[in-house]
Amino acid sequence: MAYNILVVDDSNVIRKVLIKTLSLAKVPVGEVFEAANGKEALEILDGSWIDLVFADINMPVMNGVEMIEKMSESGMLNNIPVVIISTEGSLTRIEELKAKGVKAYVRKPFTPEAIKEVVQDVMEGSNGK
Amino acid sequence: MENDPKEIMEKAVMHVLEAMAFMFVETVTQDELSDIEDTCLHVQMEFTGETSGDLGLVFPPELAASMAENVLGIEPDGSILEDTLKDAAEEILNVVCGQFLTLMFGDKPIFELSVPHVSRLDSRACNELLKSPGVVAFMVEDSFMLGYVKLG
Repeated sequence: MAYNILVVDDSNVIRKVLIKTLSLAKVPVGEVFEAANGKEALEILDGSWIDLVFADINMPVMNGVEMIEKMSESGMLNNIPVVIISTEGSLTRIEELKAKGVKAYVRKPFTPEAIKEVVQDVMEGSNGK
Repeated sequence: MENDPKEIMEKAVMHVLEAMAFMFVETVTQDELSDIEDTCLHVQMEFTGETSGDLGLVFPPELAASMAENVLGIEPDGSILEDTLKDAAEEILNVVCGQFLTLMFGDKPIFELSVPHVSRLDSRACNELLKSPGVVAFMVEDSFMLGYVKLG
């Protein structure tokens, strides 16, 4: 099964690198959507079928934490797993995000192996629900 | 003994450039670098939390282009766009900042990071920075890079 993936990061470079990394990691990808902030991401989530979201935390307009809170309020977070990809190294912040419903966390700089592992963990977990 | 911000900055820059841009980085003393004759790129950002401060990197535009090409995994054909070059520089500093904060303060405190910002720095300002105490100097393949961190 190929996954429709939404990549949310204000850096166009990081979005491109992550998309390339998904390919290198041989993750089965259907359609890829890109958003530069949480607000754009919510608009895409509203109108498209998305299986998995990769999101940064620090973004202008609407950051990753605000986006997750909005997804939680609307119930979207129950059906669409979110993986945070960030420079963030604070375990306190990571635990807070997991308590809000984030499925997994990958720290930048990331490797294809780390991305593959997290997709397997998250998607097999969500398929098994 | 308390962590030395200069040493931690060195470690963070070396780790990120090697892991993200696949570039070999060597620390040098400031005296080993000759005077800077051209305008450089200056990427800078702030962090706030239990300690606040700012950190930045200064390097020639040619190095910025090489870093962007390496991060993106594209051929170095001189066609990289200015926006892409700045975007890559900002993201590299963003990751350096995250690594610096964890190495310096551990994995418990939460910091808020600003969005990194790129500007140009003329040669006079670059040379002033080069001679400032607390600056870390690197050779990244054939180019120099300066780094600094200021804790509030």
